[in-house]
Amino acid sequence: MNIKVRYFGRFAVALGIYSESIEVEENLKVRELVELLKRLHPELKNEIMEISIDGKYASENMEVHGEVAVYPPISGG
Amino acid sequence: MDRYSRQSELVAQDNLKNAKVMIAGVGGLGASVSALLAMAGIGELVLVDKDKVEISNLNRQILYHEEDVGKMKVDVAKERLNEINNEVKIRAMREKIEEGFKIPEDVDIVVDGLDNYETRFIVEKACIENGIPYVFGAVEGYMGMVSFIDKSTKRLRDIMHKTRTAEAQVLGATVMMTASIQSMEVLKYISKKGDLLRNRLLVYDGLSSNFLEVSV
Repeated sequence: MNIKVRYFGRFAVALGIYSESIEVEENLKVRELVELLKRLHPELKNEIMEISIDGKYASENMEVHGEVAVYPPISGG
Repeated sequence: MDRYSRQSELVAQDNLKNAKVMIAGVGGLGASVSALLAMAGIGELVLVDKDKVEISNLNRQILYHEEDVGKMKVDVAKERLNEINNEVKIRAMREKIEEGFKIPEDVDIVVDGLDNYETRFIVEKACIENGIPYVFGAVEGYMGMVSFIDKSTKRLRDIMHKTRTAEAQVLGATVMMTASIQSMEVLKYISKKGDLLRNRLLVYDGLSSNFLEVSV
């Protein structure tokens, strides 16, 4: 299954891309996607990622589908 | 023509005049939000901050000038905000927000100008206990995010699940973009207009010129 992944904030800066299409297995869980992204992109290996799918927050046990957005928790004010 | 004639059809000006808004932290976000709200004619702004102006603040904290380095932020902010609009009452609280912090009486809404989650959770808790809405905001690099939290919505922990506080690079342009969205939420709430960011996290990424809305 092919999915589109959009990167936000420091993730896009680290990778030098704003989005990409990747091939993933059917029934992949969000937590597995996070591990996959860390393997694909070692720049992200120490990062904490928040994930949304089709505009909704996606918890770790949700199945991946549709358009995925990956964004960092940020703290500055 | 009065000073609000170009916005009087957009907002409930009398509501703004009678409103009291607390700004938790007058750094990047807090300074910009308080300037926008003073311009808009909010009746009273309560500024809470324990810090002094540092030279490294000046790339993004709009109320402070070079000669202010070393002065208390709330004192300088009060002076500058009154120069913007002397009809606005400004209360400057030189205070560190800690567990047990009490929100001053009659505050209608609180704006997040903080830089760490420990303090954000304290302020959010105080807001929920007092039935006061809290406009969350955070920035880093080219990216900002905003959400509107009250007792009817999901909480900050439901919006930011894995928090980590870090001192990061940030642009003044990012800060002002994010502060503008926070200010908009305040003006809408007080004017009883529009659709607030309830159960929605709005993420702005200036580098890709993209918005992301996340329902929580």
